[in-house]
Amino acid sequence: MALLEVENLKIYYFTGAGAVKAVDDISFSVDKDETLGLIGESGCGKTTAVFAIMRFAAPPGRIVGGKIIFEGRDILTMSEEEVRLLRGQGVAMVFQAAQNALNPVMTVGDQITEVINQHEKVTKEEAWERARKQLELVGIGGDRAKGYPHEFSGGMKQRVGIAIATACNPRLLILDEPVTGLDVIVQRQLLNLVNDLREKLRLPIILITHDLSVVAETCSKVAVMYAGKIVEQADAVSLYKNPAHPYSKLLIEAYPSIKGEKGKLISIPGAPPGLLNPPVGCYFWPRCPSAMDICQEAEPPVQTKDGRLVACHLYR
Amino acid sequence: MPRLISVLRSTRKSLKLLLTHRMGVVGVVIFVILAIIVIFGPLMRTVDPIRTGLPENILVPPSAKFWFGTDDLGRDIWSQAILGARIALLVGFLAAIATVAVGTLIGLISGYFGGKIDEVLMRIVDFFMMLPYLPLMIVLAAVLGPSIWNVILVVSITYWPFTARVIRSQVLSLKERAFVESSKSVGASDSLLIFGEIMPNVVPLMFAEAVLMVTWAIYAEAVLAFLGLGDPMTISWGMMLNFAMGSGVMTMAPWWVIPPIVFICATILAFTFLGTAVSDILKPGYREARGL
Repeated sequence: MALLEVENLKIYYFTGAGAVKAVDDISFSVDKDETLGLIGESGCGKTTAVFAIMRFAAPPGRIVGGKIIFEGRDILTMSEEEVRLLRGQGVAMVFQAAQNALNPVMTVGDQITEVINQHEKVTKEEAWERARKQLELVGIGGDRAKGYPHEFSGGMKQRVGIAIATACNPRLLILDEPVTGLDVIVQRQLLNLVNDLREKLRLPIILITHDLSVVAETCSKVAVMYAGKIVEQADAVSLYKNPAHPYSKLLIEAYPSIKGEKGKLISIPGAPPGLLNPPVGCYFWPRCPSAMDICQEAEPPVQTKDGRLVACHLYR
Repeated sequence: MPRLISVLRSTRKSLKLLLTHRMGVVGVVIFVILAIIVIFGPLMRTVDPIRTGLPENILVPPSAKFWFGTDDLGRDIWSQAILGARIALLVGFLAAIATVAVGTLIGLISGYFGGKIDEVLMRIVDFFMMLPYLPLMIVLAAVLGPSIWNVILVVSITYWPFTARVIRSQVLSLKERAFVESSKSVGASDSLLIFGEIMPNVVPLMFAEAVLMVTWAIYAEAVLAFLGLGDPMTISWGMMLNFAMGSGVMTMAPWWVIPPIVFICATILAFTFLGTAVSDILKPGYREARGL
């Protein structure tokens, strides 16, 4: 059994105009020693989906169906207190824009010890010692524990976010767009850090991003999301070499390659559908170059093809 | 403890900032004078303020012996005014602390939990807010009896809803900030989120509210005492005015009435200035505009 199994998860936002299917019937799993990359355009439901793993659903959003099995137990049926203890010790998350995720009026050391004190009975000295160790783990000097967030750079704040999230040795780490908004050099440092952590702590990671190169070098498995659904799931190498779903194909072609030929960049015409009134059939057909008649009539089922999961009529 | 130190550190920083604000400086100066009067008051008294004087000391105009003159019972006005400062600051600070403590607690809980809890607490707040506070104070003071502690209680009961409202509105915005959610994502409990994450962010607001409450409390005490609802055994500025009114010779002895009025005005002015200065300083851009 995998560490985390998400089955048929559905999260809808109930707005005045009707239900928006932000996450619609998605399934994926993360095993120990695995790094899952979740990619897709903005607004395709990546963050909403992983928020559900922490059992965060901001109204008007509601988890309407599915199961999230973590270490054999369904997170969705746990009590509030169990979920609270799970957060931080079981699953921890580093938020998008870590700059805002730190409390401006508290030292970073205080913010790390706070987490430790929530989960474990330790003395003040021990907690501070661990806070310093955490900072060193992410490559910041332990003496900076007395600093306030505004005294740190953007990349350092992101690192502090990781230090806080891993303070109680979680068994699954979720990184939500860890490198967005940082320059390439800091991005590189941060990705090296993530790779380091994965090896040092043997920590399974779910990484959300829309940067394909990030996925290519950190993830072992990739799930491509489009309009609230997972359209393709495969191991990272075969997805890159040979994407099956037309959307994955276009997504990869739309991304510049440093090493390859200087080809023209392709953009995907159109925009993702509004999820209040999505098109009938496959959600991607209005933008799909290989659309067929059936695509406008029936939703493609998820099927296995060469060891990967694809939801497309091309492979019937 | 480290949190307390950091709060103190930022307090010292704001005190320095306060001295860059013109109104702040005036406020601080008057406050320091008052503080000296309160602390060293007993040494500054020239005559025992309560003991009635000899017949020849009755209604003496200001002189070398009686700096501010004497009242109709031959008591020294200067010594009474000094005693009054003590009562004014005592009432001001205690009522402000009580008001801000209760108001902040209710505001935090109401704003953080929202929903039914918010609804119930805010209706209670509405109830206390719509009570006409002067009649209520008079009734409560009359029922509870004349004592300085009852004045503090009455002031706190009538003013806490205002603080609760202000704090709540700030919490409503703070709780949606990313750091609260991110703290939640590593298992922070409700109490930690409220007192550990959100409260440190409203501390400046609590200070501003407290300063405001001090002026209101001093004013309220003076009003109640003037109306005769204070404790006649405790000499405050309001009580001095009440004595002067009751004596029937007020117009003959202006030196009796002017000192308490000046003291009340100066004190309220000082705290109002401080409040204005504090809220100015807290506005984003204040420091930047002055290159601090």
